[in-house]
Amino acid sequence: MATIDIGKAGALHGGHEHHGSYLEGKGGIWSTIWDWMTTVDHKKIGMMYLVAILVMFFFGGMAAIMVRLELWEPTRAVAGGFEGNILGHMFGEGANLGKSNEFYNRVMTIHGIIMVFLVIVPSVPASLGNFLLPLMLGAKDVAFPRLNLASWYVYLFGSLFAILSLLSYGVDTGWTFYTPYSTTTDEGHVRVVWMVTAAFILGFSSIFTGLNFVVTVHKLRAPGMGWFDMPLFVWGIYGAAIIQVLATPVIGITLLLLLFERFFHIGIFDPRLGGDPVLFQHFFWFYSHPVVYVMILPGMAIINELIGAGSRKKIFGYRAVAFSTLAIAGISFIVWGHHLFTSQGEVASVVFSALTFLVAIPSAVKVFNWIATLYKGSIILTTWMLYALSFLFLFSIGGLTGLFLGSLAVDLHLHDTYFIVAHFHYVMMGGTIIAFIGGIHYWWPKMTGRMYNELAGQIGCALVFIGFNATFFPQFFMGSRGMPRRYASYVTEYQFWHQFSTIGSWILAAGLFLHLFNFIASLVNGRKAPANPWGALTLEWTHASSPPIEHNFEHEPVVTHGPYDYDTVLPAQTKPGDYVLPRPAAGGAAHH
Amino acid sequence: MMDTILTLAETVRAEKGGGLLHRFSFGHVGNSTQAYETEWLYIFIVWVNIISFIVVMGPMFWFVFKYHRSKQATNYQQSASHNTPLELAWSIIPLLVLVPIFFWGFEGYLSKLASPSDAEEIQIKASMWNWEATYRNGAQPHPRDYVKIMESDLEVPLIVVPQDRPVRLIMHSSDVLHSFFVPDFRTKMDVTPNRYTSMWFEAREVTLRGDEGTWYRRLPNGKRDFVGHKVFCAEYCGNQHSEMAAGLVVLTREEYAQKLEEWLNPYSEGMSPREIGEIAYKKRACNTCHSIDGQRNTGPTWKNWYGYEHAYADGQKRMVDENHLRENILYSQKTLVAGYPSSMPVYAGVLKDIEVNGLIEYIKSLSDRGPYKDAPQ
Repeated sequence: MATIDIGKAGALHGGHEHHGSYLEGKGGIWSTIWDWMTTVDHKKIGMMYLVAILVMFFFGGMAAIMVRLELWEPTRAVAGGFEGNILGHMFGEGANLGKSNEFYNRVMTIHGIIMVFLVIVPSVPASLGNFLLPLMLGAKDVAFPRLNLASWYVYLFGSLFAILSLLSYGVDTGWTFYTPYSTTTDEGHVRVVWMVTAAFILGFSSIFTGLNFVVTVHKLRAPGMGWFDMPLFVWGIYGAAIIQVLATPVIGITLLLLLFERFFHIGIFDPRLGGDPVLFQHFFWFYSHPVVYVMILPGMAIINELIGAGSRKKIFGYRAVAFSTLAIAGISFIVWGHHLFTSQGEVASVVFSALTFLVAIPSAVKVFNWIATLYKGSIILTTWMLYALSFLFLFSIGGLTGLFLGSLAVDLHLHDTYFIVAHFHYVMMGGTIIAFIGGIHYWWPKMTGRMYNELAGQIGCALVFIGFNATFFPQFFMGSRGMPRRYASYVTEYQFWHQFSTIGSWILAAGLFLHLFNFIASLVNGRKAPANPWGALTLEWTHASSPPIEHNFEHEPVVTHGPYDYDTVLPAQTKPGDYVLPRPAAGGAAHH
Repeated sequence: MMDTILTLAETVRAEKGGGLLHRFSFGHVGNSTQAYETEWLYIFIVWVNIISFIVVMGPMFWFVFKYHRSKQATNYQQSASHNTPLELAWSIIPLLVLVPIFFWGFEGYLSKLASPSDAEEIQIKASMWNWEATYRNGAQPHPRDYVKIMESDLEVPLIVVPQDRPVRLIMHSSDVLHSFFVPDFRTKMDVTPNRYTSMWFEAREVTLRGDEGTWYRRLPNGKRDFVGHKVFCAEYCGNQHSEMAAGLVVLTREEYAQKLEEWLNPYSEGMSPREIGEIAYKKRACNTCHSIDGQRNTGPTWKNWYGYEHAYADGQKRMVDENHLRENILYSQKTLVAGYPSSMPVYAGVLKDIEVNGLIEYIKSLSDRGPYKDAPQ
């Protein structure tokens, strides 16, 4: 008969001296604030990152809503309405914007820069990764706690430059900073310089985090935890961290060259001085393409945990998933040329096209593995599991539509149209952000010690799913019909699709706000969370309380089962009946 | 495997652009010889997408339904957590599907890049924010033939190309990156400032004229629709990026030759400076940023600009006279008008003298304090 793994429960509320949760205040309000500001606890740093990233996500999202509103009409629609108020001042120097594209171009740029540099790149690794990596490895903290805190301050410092640039009227270069426009626009103003500096500084924050994680994974795994005993979340974060460390210096150098070009006219990108603007594109995408995988690998990492716990199954083909992570990380460095298929029409594009198709395979393998994991599972449709299934749905669309763009002849038509906009939103938002929201729900009880309202969560998830598809699916058709991206005004035939998309963005926003209120309500008076509400088997659930104590574990955990051994181990539950878990099949050997 | 793929490809190819999926994706059949290749490859990939999506999502929904926890007894079934033949199969089969997509894409790319040697060559100069075409005899699109392709009344150049003859565009930019995109021909190419890029196409059908011999027809909703092909700029190039457009129509060879003769001399003998200015206003794309009816745009309106005092970015107020206009036109960055972006290019060395004089005269004619104030408009 199956044995219920009660042994671990002792570690949770055994007869040891009382250790306070990491969230407990340190005396007065000021000393608590000081404690948070100077903390080297990975959990607190992760939470601070989470809050900062969500705040930035809010601003980036508002910019997106404004972009969609502006596109309601073929000619400029709403900008004139901001005359005289603070937005009008920020984006129009107090002038009437009714007939100018400046508002749209700047808001579109703000949306891109915030979402890429301030939200998606740090999102999962810096917040959930920071919080969970040591817990999952059974460590007390990351390898370099002070470096970790430094990365948070560097992030803040970088954001400060971005905000300064925004407050002084923002930039209109697009998030890609393509030369020679970016070296010549706004001559005599520093705002472009500030924005580029922001991206440059944020790169360091990214490198710090990545380096920290690589070392932590190599050095701080608990006794008994081999490489293939690690949760796949750790594998995903590890793959992303390697790319961060290797690729980010390239964007640092590139942005520095861009600044030199602006200040000293060194003539590396500026054609008037004999430079080559296409060289900038090569440099830029040599970083920015691998970074696409810095964004998506952690999203995939989360999905592993959600699918495993939601279907109570061993992840199908663990090693294949782990190795495909490394394969993606590796190939991601040699596909950047597919962003330049229309730049000059070089035959080298053929190589990049072939490699692009190659990188599709490990991504597809992961999806197949997750679907196979569901087979004969015991599936529960909690909010986070719904998000995991949404991810599979949306990411499949995102990945499959990549085939159009990797195919050279078709790309010549679709390049720089709304088709690509739809495609990368399906990957970046439908992939990473959807996984991120799912992950926040899944680990919310662990991070805050409170349960959220399940029904509100599920309704929110449904709204986000419907809203997301309504927003971005029409954009595929707009793109194949020839609507170019980054257009403040457009020809009338696209209006129907644009309005469809704009209405979708409202539904999407409603879903996200519902989640926000749900989380706030949970913090205010949510039910206290048990240590392991989902009955998962990774260390943060089995060996740490909700929320964890300051040093994570009472004792250094010893790993006795795999992260997904749902077929043999029934985890301890603090309150039986919280969730009815199916028992492992007869003959399964639980430890102890 | 390959047989199945090729059969599917043949089925898609046979659809000849009339299918529902095709109409939904593109609106109508593209009007160039290469468009067809691109369209059928696109439709082929759509089918690969649909089938793959069903293959992946079908089991997912089925498993979620079948293995939902509410259907489980206390004990649940176990299944293998790994299966090498299956895993190999789902790595290799997708790869096989991707091979033809890659190959046909590669083939189509080369045929879009390599133009026939007997192509009609047209030079395209891109600048912020204008497409300037120059034909082999030196002719350039004449402003009287400019067209409105957007809802606004902005007039953009009309580029004409001959039917049944390959056309090669040799393109360069005078400032930042642009991209010449003709959606109906299903192709585009970036235009860069440091080297020539080129693209080519061969239009299949002559553009049929719309209502009353114009290039427009009325839509049921009363809106004006341009019947030719739209040309967009697809690489972000600053403020008026979305207004950097052109119309393109396909003419018979005779009409084409005739048009090129007509367009040879935009400023003919005996034109007044004001008339020259009016032509230059559109030809040099001043109209992209400056209105003549008092509306604000990226640049200030020209209505009542001359003869009035205006605030400049350096805090001074200046009375606008001929010398001021000349300086503002040729060296736009020297004195900037307050409240507007500094995005106007430098026109010294670009404009001819008669154009500068003409533009000044034209601006004067738009002011009620100018010499033209009593002249009938």
